[in-house]
Amino acid sequence: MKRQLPIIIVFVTALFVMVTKFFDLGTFSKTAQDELNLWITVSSVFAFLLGPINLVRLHWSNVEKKRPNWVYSAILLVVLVISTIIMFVDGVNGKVSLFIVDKIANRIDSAIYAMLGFYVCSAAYRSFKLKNTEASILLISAVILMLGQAPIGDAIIPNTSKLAEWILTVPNSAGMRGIRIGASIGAFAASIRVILGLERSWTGTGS
Amino acid sequence: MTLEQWGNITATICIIMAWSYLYKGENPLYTFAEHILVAIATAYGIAYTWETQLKPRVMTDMVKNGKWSLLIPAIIGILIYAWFFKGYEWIARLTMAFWIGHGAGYALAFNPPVFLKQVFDSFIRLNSFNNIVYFLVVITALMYFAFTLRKDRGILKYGSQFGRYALMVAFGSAYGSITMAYLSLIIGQLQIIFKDTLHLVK
Repeated sequence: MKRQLPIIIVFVTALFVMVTKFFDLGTFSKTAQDELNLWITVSSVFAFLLGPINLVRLHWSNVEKKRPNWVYSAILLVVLVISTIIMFVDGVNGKVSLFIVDKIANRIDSAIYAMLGFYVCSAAYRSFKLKNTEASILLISAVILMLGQAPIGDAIIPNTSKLAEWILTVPNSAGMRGIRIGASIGAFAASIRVILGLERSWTGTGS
Repeated sequence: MTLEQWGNITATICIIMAWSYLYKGENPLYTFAEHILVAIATAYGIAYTWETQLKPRVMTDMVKNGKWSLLIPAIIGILIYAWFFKGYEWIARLTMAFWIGHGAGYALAFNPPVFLKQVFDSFIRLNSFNNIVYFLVVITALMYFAFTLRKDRGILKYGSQFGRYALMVAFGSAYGSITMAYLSLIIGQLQIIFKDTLHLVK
């Protein structure tokens, strides 16, 4: 029962979604779809503490067992508690909350994300060293795009911006469409496997 | 000093702490910034979900409008916490099953119209160079992704090879665009430090 019940719930829920879509049930179809979407939202909202609880458990255990770098875990827990209290008292759009989010969290977040820019350049140097035809094509395409989007590009090689635009609108758009169609077919096949109970890895009991 | 100035100084310190990674990898300043970010982001997630989702559902929908049927999905959501109780982890899978069932059903019922439209739109009139290239790239990219077919000879071999090259052009352009986005983000951070805080740039 512990193994079969989740599979049955998957099947029934998926079947319900498909019945409301494929069969003409009058106003019931629309009402049922809206209600089910609301149920999905509400159930995920009530599960919102799953991540924070996991985070607290992990870092609490680090502090308790004095694992290496446990001080950072302690700092995380203290900041988490203080920030949560401030955001509940002040509201998420309050002056102090916005200061914490905009001037601290968003700045660290953007700085770490921007830092990838430095690494992307060095990684590109290592991987693009014209090892084969594919790498050469990728490198040439990337260079044209970068030059085309920079104001100096057209001054170095005339019409680079036009070529960059063509690459974006024709080969890039078509390639991405091919990938999307392939991924959609894959998702379709995976969904059928999940509904029929052939794909059970999500249950943690193996397929 | 105004709150804005204090904000810029704090932002600058945060940026320097994060970028200290470039100088010395995982160092105390970077690790400190990393943990602070996780803590604040989690706190914001909790407060935001409470204020914009949970409170309206409970206070407005259930208590005020009397929509007590929402107790059922609420209980389904709460069941996920069984994950933390040894021996009762399987109960959490019921919630997962509900979400996965909805996702799988949705993928079968509602996604095909979206991607089938993309398939139909790919069969365009081949009356220009761009249209021919577009059509060829879509078809050969799909040939490349057909892993269950033998592609060691004939049209599939050359088609998938062309698809591979076309995908490299697409990935290259995506890479170029992302790199430019990163660069503008770096410039934005530098502006906070040198323009807003230190006033060295006008």
